[in-house]
Amino acid sequence: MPFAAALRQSLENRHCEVPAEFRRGDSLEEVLNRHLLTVEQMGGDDVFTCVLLLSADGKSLSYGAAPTVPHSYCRASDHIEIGPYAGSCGAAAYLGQPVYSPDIATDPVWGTYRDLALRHGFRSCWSTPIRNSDDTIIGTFAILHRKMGMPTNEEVNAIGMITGHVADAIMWSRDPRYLARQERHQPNTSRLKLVSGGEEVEGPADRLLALAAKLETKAADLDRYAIQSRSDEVTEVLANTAILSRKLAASVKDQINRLGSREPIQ
Amino acid sequence: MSTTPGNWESGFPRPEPPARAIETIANDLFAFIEDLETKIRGGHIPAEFAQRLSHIRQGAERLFRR
Repeated sequence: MPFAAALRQSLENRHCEVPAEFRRGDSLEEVLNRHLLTVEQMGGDDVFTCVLLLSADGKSLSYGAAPTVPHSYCRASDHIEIGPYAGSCGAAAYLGQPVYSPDIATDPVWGTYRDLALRHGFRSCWSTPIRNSDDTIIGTFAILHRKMGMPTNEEVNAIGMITGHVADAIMWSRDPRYLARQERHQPNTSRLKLVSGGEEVEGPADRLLALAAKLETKAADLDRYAIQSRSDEVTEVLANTAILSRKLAASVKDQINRLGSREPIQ
Repeated sequence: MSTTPGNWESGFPRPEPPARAIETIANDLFAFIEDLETKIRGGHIPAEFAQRLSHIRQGAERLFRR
């Protein structure tokens, strides 16, 4: 099963990177976003993933990460009271077992959230409880699709693998001792911090603006390196990196404009 | 009756861009470039860098499409 083997390798690579990410100050959401983006890249265009975290009282779910699920969907379903008709995730947390909804349009589990899901084009959802080392449910991992269908055995196995890695990341974020044990086996890495003029920046707009500026500066540096390079192969890597850097800087600026807290940034 | 998967133009609202995902990938690219610059100064870019860039680019292009 090449997909399962490749996914396992990618997730194991991610697993090794997580301690350094937490140590340099990345949030649980950022760490989980990287996990989920890895899964989505391998799963194809019709795979939207999310992790929902169970509240301390065990009664509701809220988003821990959902890197590519539309914001309007997340906003409308950010606080889910768990129950048998609270969508696949609400039901999975309530029942303590996976809930695969092959057709959201007809599955009674989706009673409360059916219209929201259909409005966003989601037609099936496979949700699995996430458990900590004490076997207590701490959240759910779900895959949403625009097509109807049930997971194959290979996909069920993959979901189990993903859920295990997500559980580890959540436990590490909550228990430094867990992380400390892992760190003893990991090399030290430099801490990445976004700074502007030597000072750390706060707030989403300032943070994004600093990020866009840094990417643009790096793109210009890469152009210069590319001109100086004597190797076609190196020049190609540098040029491609510069192009991607500018595209991402433009995307980040677009996000700033959507925040609406500044004059439009060109 | 099933709907047309993946067709945001016909009936489904266009999703807002996934801002957090773009920020995550942008941060990853920034970290990649810093590593790349270190290697350039050493005069050699290991083959794994092309693979790492490809991985970041695939993630970014996926987001640009959405």
